[in-house]
Amino acid sequence: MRRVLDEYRAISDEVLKPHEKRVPRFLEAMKKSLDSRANWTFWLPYVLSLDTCMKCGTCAEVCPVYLSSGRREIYHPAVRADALRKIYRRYFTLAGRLFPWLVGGEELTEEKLDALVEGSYRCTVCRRCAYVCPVAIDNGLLIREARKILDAIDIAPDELREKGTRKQLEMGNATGTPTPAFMDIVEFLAEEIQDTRGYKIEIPVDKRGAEYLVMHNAGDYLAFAETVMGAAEIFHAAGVDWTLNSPATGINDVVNYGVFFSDVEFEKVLRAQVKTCIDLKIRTLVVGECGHAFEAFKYLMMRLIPEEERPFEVKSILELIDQWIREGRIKVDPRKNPEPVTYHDACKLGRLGGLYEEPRRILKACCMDFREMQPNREMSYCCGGGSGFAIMTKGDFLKFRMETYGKIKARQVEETGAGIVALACSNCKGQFREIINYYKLPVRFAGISELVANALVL
Amino acid sequence: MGWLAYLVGIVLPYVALALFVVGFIYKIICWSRAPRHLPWELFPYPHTAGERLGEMVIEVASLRSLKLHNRNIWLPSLLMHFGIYAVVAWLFLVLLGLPVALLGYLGGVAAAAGSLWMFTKRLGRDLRILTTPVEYLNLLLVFLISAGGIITGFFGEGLAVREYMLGILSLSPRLPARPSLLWEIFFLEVFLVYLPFGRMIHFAAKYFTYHRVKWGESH
Amino acid sequence: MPKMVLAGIEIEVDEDGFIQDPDKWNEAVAKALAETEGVTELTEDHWKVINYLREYYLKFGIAPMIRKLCKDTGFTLKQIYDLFPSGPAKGACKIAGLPKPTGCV
Ligand code: SF4
Ligand code: SF4
Repeated sequence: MRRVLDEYRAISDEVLKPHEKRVPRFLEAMKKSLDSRANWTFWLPYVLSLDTCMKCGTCAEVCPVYLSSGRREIYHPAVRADALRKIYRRYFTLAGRLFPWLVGGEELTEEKLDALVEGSYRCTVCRRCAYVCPVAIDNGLLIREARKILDAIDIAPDELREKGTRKQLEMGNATGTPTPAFMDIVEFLAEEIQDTRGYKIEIPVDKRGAEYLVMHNAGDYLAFAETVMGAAEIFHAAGVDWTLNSPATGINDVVNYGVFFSDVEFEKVLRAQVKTCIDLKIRTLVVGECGHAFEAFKYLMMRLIPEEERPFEVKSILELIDQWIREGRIKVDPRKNPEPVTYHDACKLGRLGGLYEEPRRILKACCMDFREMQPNREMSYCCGGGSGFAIMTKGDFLKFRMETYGKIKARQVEETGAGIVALACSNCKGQFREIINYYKLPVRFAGISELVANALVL
Repeated sequence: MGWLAYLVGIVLPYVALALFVVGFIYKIICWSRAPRHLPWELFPYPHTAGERLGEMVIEVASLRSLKLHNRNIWLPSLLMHFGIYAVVAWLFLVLLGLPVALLGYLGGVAAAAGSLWMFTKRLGRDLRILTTPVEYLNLLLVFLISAGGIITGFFGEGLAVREYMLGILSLSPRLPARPSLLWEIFFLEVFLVYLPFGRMIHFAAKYFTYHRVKWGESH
Repeated sequence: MPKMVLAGIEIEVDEDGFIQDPDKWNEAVAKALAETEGVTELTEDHWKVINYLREYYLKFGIAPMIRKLCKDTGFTLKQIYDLFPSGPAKGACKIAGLPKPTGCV
């Protein structure tokens, strides 16, 4: 593919349309993004991050892409976000209009726009940089705002939009699983549990009025079935009133790729999901092992959908498992997981979600030998699957993921000497699958639910 | 030259103060009237007012983020910031009638040295790639004020400075006893006008980025 | 949509080289697609996987679960990676003429 920023391409020319005149439309969309009413969702952090970066470079010292690339200028967090700041200065500030050269304002050209598009997809919005920035400036947020503006002029990866949010709204899930296929899958899972564990459990589907609706990332059924099976065994062991749901009830996929690139798409998907929960009259929505879905339901939803319009509780499956183990509602025996296990803090669950202790308590209860990865918790490195990257493989993009984030992560995992990497996020699983394959690591990954189910004492 | 002294010593102080106050208040109002954005905090963060204050004090006093993650510029930046704190403290003490010349001079030396040191750091590859001319200009301005204060003897003239400031504040402005002080007064005026509109407003922006974004919004 | 000449016929493919119209698929096309994936020879084992994928797809309109694929063909995931180096979703599905899997897979 044509080179626009570096040797990778996240977005093809078909979407990019380099021969059209896009700059005026971009500026129009950006103008709208700076209006606090039209773009209220992140307006304050957005303008603060545009205006008050001190150019101290602290962000760069913690950014996995910058560090692992041998400190390439184009991957510097502040430089990358400056692509947007330069436009802002030049067109939307007085100083920049009068003295662009002084304050770093720059004319936007079609070529620069191409580079900006690709640059917006070289950062996973992991926000490690925002955590350490002395002024708490958020270059990740600026990248997300850039993606939003681009989405408004129809530039978005088709994995996330055409075949992501749009498909999810149309089919009920982003994988495009129709209801008969879904039923076949659930039946197969029940058989598998019987074959591997030797007992039969019922997996309820589309039960109305259930206490818990467990909504997984639909990709888990296809690619990480062990997580779904594990969850079913856990809910069965807990003896609670629970259900899965099929696409016939509306949305049965907890993902929301709008989190990654568009508030408009985000809200549409979220409302459809909420409607499904209301139609099913469930009491608690259990977010399966999916990082960004947890962020969406636990935090982003709060001010977007008024409380009275969502008459159900939201819990991460991690919170529930942790609670049930502590209450003794489910019993686990760590000797059933003797291998050394380490845990990767998904950005969306940890730094953005605050779930640090839950997964650790669970793993310590269910595994003999739990080992911390260094660094961890708020300083955890993004695995490189975040913000949609896990499902973006076009061109050489997979290589980009492996040679940057993946490189750091592989080394971290190796250093622990663990045989299993426990993960609680689908995108992390997709990324680790590739990392393990690419770096030939002698480890396997496992969903937390899988490890818990393995340790269950019935 | 009488009219120039009049301009710098009598007229500009009011213009500068007015612009500073208006600009500053404008910014603060603009930020505080922002619509409540979606929750976007980063964990872990301090929850009680006491914890938050503690974090702020530690950050302001030790520049901990730089110390932990960007050692390369921690000392120069610390030196410069402490110099500025000292000069500001000196100004307040002068107003209160406690002209501690040593504090002023120490602050001036620290800020001058720190800003120069930062300037050289900015020329290094890692910072150069993200520095625009205005960043160099900001450092030069800090250097000019602090070096100016030393060279013109401003920091040693606490009593004269006090008298002049009181004159300004009581709306009966009089030119300072020593005309050479006008240089420093001019630099300070430029600084005041520039402050709300440049990046040096970060000390105020920081309040919002921390309290309203990074630390959640009390929920 | 870009077009590719596969086994002598011009076929529409998406940006990742997945054919768009499953009806255009035949064994010769499969061989041509295999070459784009660096699989030079389609053995009996390859065909076992390809045929399974196709049958499942024609019945349910979606690629099967990886776990089910392994179980029903009798291959481990590792063996499938050996057969199709870019994996079951991106490699095997492409050669079997399925559309590119979407969502978090
Ligand atoms: S974003 Fe923060 S850490 Fe990065 S250069 Fe700007 S002020 Fe420094
Ligand atoms: S959000 Fe993460 S990937 Fe993006 S610039 Fe910051 S540290 Fe780097």
